Amino acid sequence: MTEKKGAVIKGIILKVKDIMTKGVKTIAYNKSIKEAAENMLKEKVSLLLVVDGSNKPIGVVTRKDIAFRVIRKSESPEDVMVAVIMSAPVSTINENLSAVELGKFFGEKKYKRLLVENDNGELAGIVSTTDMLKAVANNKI
Amino acid sequence: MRVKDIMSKDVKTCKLDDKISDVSREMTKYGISMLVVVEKDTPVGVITKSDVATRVVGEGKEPNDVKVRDVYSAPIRKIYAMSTIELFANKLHARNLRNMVVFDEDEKMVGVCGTTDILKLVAEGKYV
Repeated sequence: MTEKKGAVIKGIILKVKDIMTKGVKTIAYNKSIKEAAENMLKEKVSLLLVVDGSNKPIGVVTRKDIAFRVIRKSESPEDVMVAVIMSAPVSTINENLSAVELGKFFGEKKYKRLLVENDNGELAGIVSTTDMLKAVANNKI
Repeated sequence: MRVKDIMSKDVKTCKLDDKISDVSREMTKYGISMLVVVEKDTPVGVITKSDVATRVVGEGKEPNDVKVRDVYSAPIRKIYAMSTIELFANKLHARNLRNMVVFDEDEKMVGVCGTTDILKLVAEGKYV
Protein backbone atom coordinates (compact mmCIF):
# COMPACT_ATOMS: atom_id res chain seq x y z
CA MET A 1 0.00 0.00 0.00
CA THR A 2 2.88 2.38 0.73
CA GLU A 3 4.06 1.96 -2.87
CA LYS A 4 0.61 2.83 -4.24
CA LYS A 5 0.47 5.95 -2.08
CA GLY A 6 3.91 6.89 -3.41
CA ALA A 7 2.65 6.67 -6.97
CA VAL A 8 -0.33 8.89 -6.28
CA ILE A 9 1.93 11.46 -4.62
CA LYS A 10 4.35 11.42 -7.58
CA GLY A 11 1.44 11.98 -9.97
CA ILE A 12 0.11 14.88 -7.89
CA ILE A 13 3.49 16.55 -7.41
CA LEU A 14 4.37 16.25 -11.08
CA LYS A 15 2.85 19.21 -12.93
CA VAL A 16 1.89 19.75 -16.55
CA LYS A 17 4.77 22.24 -16.86
CA ASP A 18 7.24 19.47 -15.91
CA ILE A 19 6.25 17.22 -18.82
CA MET A 20 4.94 19.59 -21.52
CA THR A 21 6.73 20.59 -24.70
CA LYS A 22 7.52 24.30 -24.58
CA GLY A 23 6.44 26.44 -27.50
CA VAL A 24 3.90 25.50 -30.18
CA LYS A 25 4.48 25.29 -33.95
CA THR A 26 2.25 27.62 -35.95
CA ILE A 27 0.86 27.87 -39.47
CA ALA A 28 -0.84 30.79 -41.25
CA TYR A 29 -4.61 30.41 -41.76
CA ASN A 30 -4.34 30.75 -45.56
CA LYS A 31 -1.83 27.92 -46.13
CA SER A 32 -3.03 24.67 -47.69
CA ILE A 33 -3.60 21.55 -45.62
CA LYS A 34 -0.98 19.81 -47.78
CA GLU A 35 1.54 22.30 -46.43
CA ALA A 36 0.23 21.71 -42.89
CA ALA A 37 0.73 17.94 -43.37
CA GLU A 38 4.30 18.52 -44.61
CA ASN A 39 5.07 20.73 -41.59
CA MET A 40 3.65 18.19 -39.14
CA LEU A 41 5.83 15.41 -40.54
CA LYS A 42 8.93 17.63 -40.68
CA GLU A 43 8.46 18.94 -37.11
CA LYS A 44 7.19 15.57 -35.80
CA VAL A 45 4.08 17.15 -34.27
CA SER A 46 0.41 16.25 -34.55
CA LEU A 47 -1.03 19.75 -33.98
CA LEU A 48 -0.33 23.20 -35.39
CA LEU A 49 -1.61 26.48 -33.96
CA VAL A 50 -3.36 28.46 -36.69
CA VAL A 51 -2.55 32.20 -36.71
CA ASP A 52 -4.11 35.13 -38.58
CA GLY A 53 -2.31 37.90 -40.53
CA SER A 54 -1.17 39.59 -37.31
CA ASN A 55 0.17 36.32 -35.86
CA LYS A 56 -2.75 36.02 -33.43
CA PRO A 57 -3.90 32.43 -32.64
CA ILE A 58 -7.34 31.72 -34.09
CA GLY A 59 -7.56 27.92 -33.93
CA VAL A 60 -5.77 24.59 -34.17
CA VAL A 61 -5.41 21.98 -36.88
CA THR A 62 -4.56 18.35 -36.07
CA ARG A 63 -3.25 15.33 -37.95
CA LYS A 64 -6.63 13.68 -37.48
CA ASP A 65 -8.51 16.72 -38.92
CA ILE A 66 -6.39 16.56 -42.09
CA ALA A 67 -6.44 12.79 -42.52
CA PHE A 68 -10.21 12.49 -42.09
CA ARG A 69 -11.16 15.58 -44.08
CA VAL A 70 -9.08 14.79 -47.16
CA ILE A 71 -9.93 11.11 -47.46
CA ARG A 72 -13.59 11.28 -46.49
CA LYS A 73 -14.39 14.22 -48.76
CA SER A 74 -12.00 13.18 -51.57
CA GLU A 75 -10.63 16.73 -51.77
CA SER A 76 -7.29 17.80 -53.14
CA PRO A 77 -5.13 18.79 -50.13
CA GLU A 78 -3.62 21.64 -52.11
CA ASP A 79 -7.02 23.28 -52.57
CA VAL A 80 -8.21 23.32 -48.97
CA MET A 81 -7.13 26.17 -46.68
CA VAL A 82 -6.14 25.44 -43.09
CA ALA A 83 -8.79 27.95 -41.90
CA VAL A 84 -11.54 25.81 -43.44
CA ILE A 85 -10.85 22.72 -41.32
CA MET A 86 -9.34 24.20 -38.15
CA SER A 87 -11.06 23.85 -34.77
CA ALA A 88 -11.88 26.96 -32.75
CA PRO A 89 -12.03 28.10 -30.02
CA VAL A 90 -8.86 26.56 -28.61
CA SER A 91 -9.07 24.67 -25.29
CA THR A 92 -6.23 25.28 -22.85
CA ILE A 93 -5.23 24.11 -19.38
CA ASN A 94 -3.09 25.69 -16.68
CA GLU A 95 0.56 24.60 -16.43
CA ASN A 96 0.22 23.93 -12.69
CA LEU A 97 -2.40 21.19 -13.10
CA SER A 98 -1.09 17.82 -11.78
CA ALA A 99 -0.31 14.85 -14.02
CA VAL A 100 -3.16 12.88 -12.39
CA GLU A 101 -5.67 15.67 -13.12
CA LEU A 102 -4.38 15.90 -16.68
CA GLY A 103 -4.87 12.14 -17.14
CA LYS A 104 -8.45 12.43 -15.83
CA PHE A 105 -9.10 15.34 -18.17
CA PHE A 106 -7.76 13.41 -21.19
CA GLY A 107 -10.08 10.54 -20.24
CA GLU A 108 -13.22 12.64 -19.73
CA LYS A 109 -12.81 14.84 -22.80
CA LYS A 110 -11.25 12.20 -25.07
CA TYR A 111 -8.42 14.65 -25.78
CA LYS A 112 -4.98 13.47 -26.92
CA ARG A 113 -3.28 16.82 -26.37
CA LEU A 114 -3.96 20.30 -24.98
CA LEU A 115 -2.42 23.74 -25.22
CA VAL A 116 -0.94 24.96 -21.92
CA GLU A 117 -1.25 28.43 -20.36
CA ASN A 118 0.78 29.95 -17.53
CA ASP A 119 -0.77 31.89 -14.61
CA ASN A 120 -0.71 35.09 -16.69
CA GLY A 121 -2.88 33.48 -19.35
CA GLU A 122 0.00 33.32 -21.85
CA LEU A 123 0.50 30.32 -24.09
CA ALA A 124 3.38 28.28 -22.60
CA GLY A 125 3.40 25.05 -24.59
CA ILE A 126 1.55 21.88 -25.44
CA VAL A 127 1.06 18.62 -23.54
CA SER A 128 -0.01 15.27 -25.02
CA THR A 129 -0.50 11.61 -24.16
CA THR A 130 3.01 11.14 -25.66
CA ASP A 131 4.49 13.44 -22.97
CA MET A 132 2.59 11.46 -20.34
CA LEU A 133 3.90 8.15 -21.75
CA LYS A 134 7.48 9.50 -21.66
CA ALA A 135 7.03 10.54 -18.02
CA VAL A 136 5.90 7.00 -17.16
CA ALA A 137 8.74 5.47 -19.22
CA ASN A 138 11.26 7.66 -17.37
CA ASN A 139 9.85 6.76 -13.92
CA LYS A 140 8.65 10.31 -13.23
CA ILE A 141 5.18 8.98 -12.46
CA MET B 1 -5.65 2.79 -52.79
CA ARG B 2 -5.74 0.05 -50.15
CA VAL B 3 -4.73 -0.18 -46.50
CA LYS B 4 -1.94 -2.62 -47.50
CA ASP B 5 -0.32 0.17 -49.57
CA ILE B 6 0.16 2.52 -46.61
CA MET B 7 0.30 0.25 -43.51
CA SER B 8 3.36 -0.51 -41.42
CA LYS B 9 4.27 -4.21 -41.53
CA ASP B 10 6.40 -4.02 -38.40
CA VAL B 11 3.93 -4.94 -35.63
CA LYS B 12 5.15 -4.48 -32.05
CA THR B 13 3.40 -6.69 -29.52
CA CYS B 14 3.16 -7.20 -25.77
CA LYS B 15 1.62 -9.73 -23.38
CA LEU B 16 -1.27 -9.47 -20.92
CA ASP B 17 1.07 -9.79 -17.94
CA ASP B 18 3.57 -7.13 -19.05
CA LYS B 19 3.87 -4.14 -16.71
CA ILE B 20 2.64 -0.72 -17.85
CA SER B 21 6.03 0.80 -16.98
CA ASP B 22 7.70 -1.66 -19.40
CA VAL B 23 5.23 -1.23 -22.28
CA SER B 24 5.51 2.57 -21.89
CA ARG B 25 9.28 2.30 -22.35
CA GLU B 26 8.73 0.06 -25.37
CA MET B 27 6.33 2.53 -27.05
CA THR B 28 8.61 5.49 -26.27
CA LYS B 29 11.66 3.62 -27.62
CA TYR B 30 10.00 2.95 -30.98
CA GLY B 31 8.06 6.24 -31.09
CA ILE B 32 4.74 4.46 -31.53
CA SER B 33 1.27 5.01 -30.02
CA MET B 34 0.04 1.45 -29.69
CA LEU B 35 1.16 -2.15 -29.03
CA VAL B 36 -0.90 -5.17 -30.04
CA VAL B 37 -1.72 -7.37 -27.04
CA VAL B 38 -1.11 -11.03 -27.87
CA GLU B 39 -2.23 -14.10 -25.93
CA LYS B 40 -0.96 -17.50 -27.14
CA ASP B 41 -0.03 -15.97 -30.52
CA THR B 42 -3.55 -14.55 -30.96
CA PRO B 43 -4.08 -10.75 -31.01
CA VAL B 44 -6.70 -9.96 -28.35
CA GLY B 45 -6.57 -6.17 -28.12
CA VAL B 46 -4.31 -3.12 -28.07
CA ILE B 47 -2.69 -0.93 -25.44
CA THR B 48 -2.35 2.74 -26.37
CA LYS B 49 -0.79 5.95 -25.05
CA SER B 50 -4.30 7.06 -24.10
CA ASP B 51 -4.91 3.90 -22.05
CA VAL B 52 -1.74 4.67 -20.05
CA ALA B 53 -2.58 8.39 -19.66
CA THR B 54 -6.23 7.94 -18.66
CA ARG B 55 -6.56 4.51 -17.01
CA VAL B 56 -3.23 4.46 -15.17
CA VAL B 57 -1.95 8.00 -14.56
CA GLY B 58 -5.44 9.57 -14.52
CA GLU B 59 -6.54 7.12 -11.86
CA GLY B 60 -3.45 7.66 -9.71
CA LYS B 61 -2.16 4.11 -10.18
CA GLU B 62 1.49 3.05 -9.94
CA PRO B 63 2.66 2.04 -13.48
CA ASN B 64 4.93 -0.64 -11.98
CA ASP B 65 1.96 -2.34 -10.29
CA VAL B 66 -0.50 -2.24 -13.20
CA LYS B 67 -0.46 -4.91 -15.89
CA VAL B 68 -1.58 -4.67 -19.49
CA ARG B 69 -4.56 -6.97 -18.73
CA ASP B 70 -5.97 -4.37 -16.28
CA VAL B 71 -6.21 -1.45 -18.72
CA TYR B 72 -5.90 -2.56 -22.36
CA SER B 73 -8.56 -1.93 -25.02
CA ALA B 74 -10.45 -4.94 -26.40
CA PRO B 75 -11.71 -6.38 -28.70
CA ILE B 76 -9.06 -5.94 -31.36
CA ARG B 77 -9.62 -2.94 -33.73
CA LYS B 78 -9.62 -4.78 -37.02
CA ILE B 79 -9.27 -3.55 -40.60
CA TYR B 80 -8.53 -5.70 -43.66
CA ALA B 81 -5.44 -5.16 -45.81
CA MET B 82 -7.60 -5.05 -48.95
CA SER B 83 -9.97 -2.38 -47.55
CA THR B 84 -9.88 0.98 -49.32
CA ILE B 85 -8.36 3.85 -47.37
CA GLU B 86 -11.72 5.65 -47.65
CA LEU B 87 -13.38 2.84 -45.70
CA PHE B 88 -10.45 2.85 -43.27
CA ALA B 89 -10.72 6.63 -42.66
CA ASN B 90 -14.48 6.30 -42.12
CA LYS B 91 -13.98 3.52 -39.57
CA LEU B 92 -11.33 5.50 -37.69
CA HIS B 93 -13.60 8.54 -37.68
CA ALA B 94 -16.74 6.68 -36.60
CA ARG B 95 -14.95 4.98 -33.70
CA ASN B 96 -12.77 7.98 -32.78
CA LEU B 97 -9.57 5.94 -33.21
CA ARG B 98 -6.09 6.88 -34.44
CA ASN B 99 -4.80 3.38 -35.29
CA MET B 100 -6.14 -0.05 -36.23
CA VAL B 101 -4.66 -3.55 -36.63
CA VAL B 102 -4.50 -4.93 -40.18
CA PHE B 103 -5.49 -8.53 -41.08
CA ASP B 104 -5.38 -10.46 -44.35
CA GLU B 105 -8.22 -12.55 -45.77
CA ASP B 106 -6.99 -15.59 -43.77
CA GLU B 107 -7.44 -13.59 -40.54
CA LYS B 108 -3.68 -13.38 -40.07
CA MET B 109 -2.31 -10.15 -38.55
CA VAL B 110 -0.15 -8.42 -41.17
CA GLY B 111 0.35 -4.83 -39.99
CA VAL B 112 -0.85 -1.69 -38.24
CA CYS B 113 -2.17 1.49 -39.83
CA GLY B 114 -3.20 4.93 -38.58
CA THR B 115 -3.75 8.61 -39.19
CA THR B 116 0.01 9.23 -39.49
CA ASP B 117 0.12 6.90 -42.52
CA ILE B 118 -2.71 8.90 -44.12
CA LEU B 119 -0.95 12.19 -43.28
CA LYS B 120 2.18 10.94 -45.10
CA LEU B 121 0.08 10.25 -48.15
CA VAL B 122 -1.33 13.80 -48.05
CA ALA B 123 2.09 15.41 -47.48
CA GLU B 124 3.65 13.47 -50.33
CA GLY B 125 0.86 14.55 -52.68
CA LYS B 126 -0.07 10.93 -53.37
CA TYR B 127 -3.71 11.40 -52.53
CA VAL B 128 -5.46 13.71 -54.99
